[in-house]
Amino acid sequence: MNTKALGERYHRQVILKELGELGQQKLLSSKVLVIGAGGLGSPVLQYLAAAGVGTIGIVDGDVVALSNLHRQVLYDTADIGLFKAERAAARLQQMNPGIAIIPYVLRLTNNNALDILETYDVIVDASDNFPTRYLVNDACLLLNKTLVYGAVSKFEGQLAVFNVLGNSGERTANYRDLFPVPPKKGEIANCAEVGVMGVLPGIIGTLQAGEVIKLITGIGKPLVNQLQTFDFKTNAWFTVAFYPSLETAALQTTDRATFINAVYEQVCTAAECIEITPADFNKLLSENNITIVDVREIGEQPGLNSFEHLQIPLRQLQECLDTIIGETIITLCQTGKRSRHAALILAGAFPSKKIYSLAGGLSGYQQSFQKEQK
Amino acid sequence: MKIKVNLLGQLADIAGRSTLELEGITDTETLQEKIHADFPALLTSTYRIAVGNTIVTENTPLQNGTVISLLPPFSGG
Repeated sequence: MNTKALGERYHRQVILKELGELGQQKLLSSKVLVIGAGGLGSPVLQYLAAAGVGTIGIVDGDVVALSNLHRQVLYDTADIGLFKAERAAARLQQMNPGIAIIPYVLRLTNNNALDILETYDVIVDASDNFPTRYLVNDACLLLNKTLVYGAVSKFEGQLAVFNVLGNSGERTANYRDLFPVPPKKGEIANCAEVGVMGVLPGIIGTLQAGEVIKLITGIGKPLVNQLQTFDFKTNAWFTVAFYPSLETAALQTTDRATFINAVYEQVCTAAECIEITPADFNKLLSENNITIVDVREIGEQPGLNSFEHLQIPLRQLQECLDTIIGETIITLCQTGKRSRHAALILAGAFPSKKIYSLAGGLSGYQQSFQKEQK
Repeated sequence: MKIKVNLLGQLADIAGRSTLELEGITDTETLQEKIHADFPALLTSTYRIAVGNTIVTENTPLQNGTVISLLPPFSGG
């Protein structure tokens, strides 16, 4: 394409002094990977292609269905039964022949995710299921990639930007700082089960494209350490702050081998983590073959000496799974929060064992014990 | 002392309403006990608690008029 046509195509955004030719060059030389070419992916892809993002990868292993078309506006009726990644690539290439579009007709897995994500600058989560969302988040943490997150349900949507590099080398909050572990399978219904208003992913996906453009060009401030929610029915926008936490850092995979061996599909199907009351905990104490794991940091007070236990801080739990034996495992901490995370990890690692978390933690346990004695 | 609780997403479906007004709730732990007692299905639901405009991770005292939001994860795309 000649320079004049190129200049004309992007003219209306290049004349924005905040963007300018430099900003346009940044867009043209950037590489963005969009995971999911459905309701969210449709607007994300169209706006990124239109804005002149130089290389766009599209990951989607599904084919177009008739029931997709009320919201997945990248496709038409003739596309039904064809691979979304391929149809999207063809359509976007027609919209803008001056950029490169790379379709990946596959479902993202532990084995292929790192190799695909590695070559892109910014990743967009436009997927439609929790295993993929956690997989993409963890891959972005491992590869130090910024992730632009969007999700919808019925009449509401969520938007956030994760894992942006700060001035002092720190990273902003990620999906696990928001929701540390996936919900149980079946707890949260998907669009196929509960429905979704067609324009909703259009709104959220368009904003995701906007965040990508802000990140690449440096215009404005990306939505970091914040979750923005939108309610279609009331037009209410709500923004809440959340921050990186040490507890969720413990849930992250720290090397490629651990990532490849992590089980994402089963994360949501892990045996339900059962919280037990102090009274039930006392009953279990008298049984044989139970293992109690204190997941607090070494040295945290109060110390435990009234029963046998292992001490494995939550952040080291993944590496110490081998040291935990016994058929019934009870995790505990100060308030019951870290132990619940730990129990979910153990439930995933040991699906056949009984895993419990002491609800209310040692604080609650001591209080109930004191009440009993009065 | 009165607080307002906004239930987002599927939490509103579970509770059958999108807002609650509660009296005598002094902190987020007491709030959780109350709503789990009133709506047992919330006990097994994944959600985060925002007090005002910040998600809290520890038990947090509440003031008269505080607005609390319960935020569930969404998977749809």
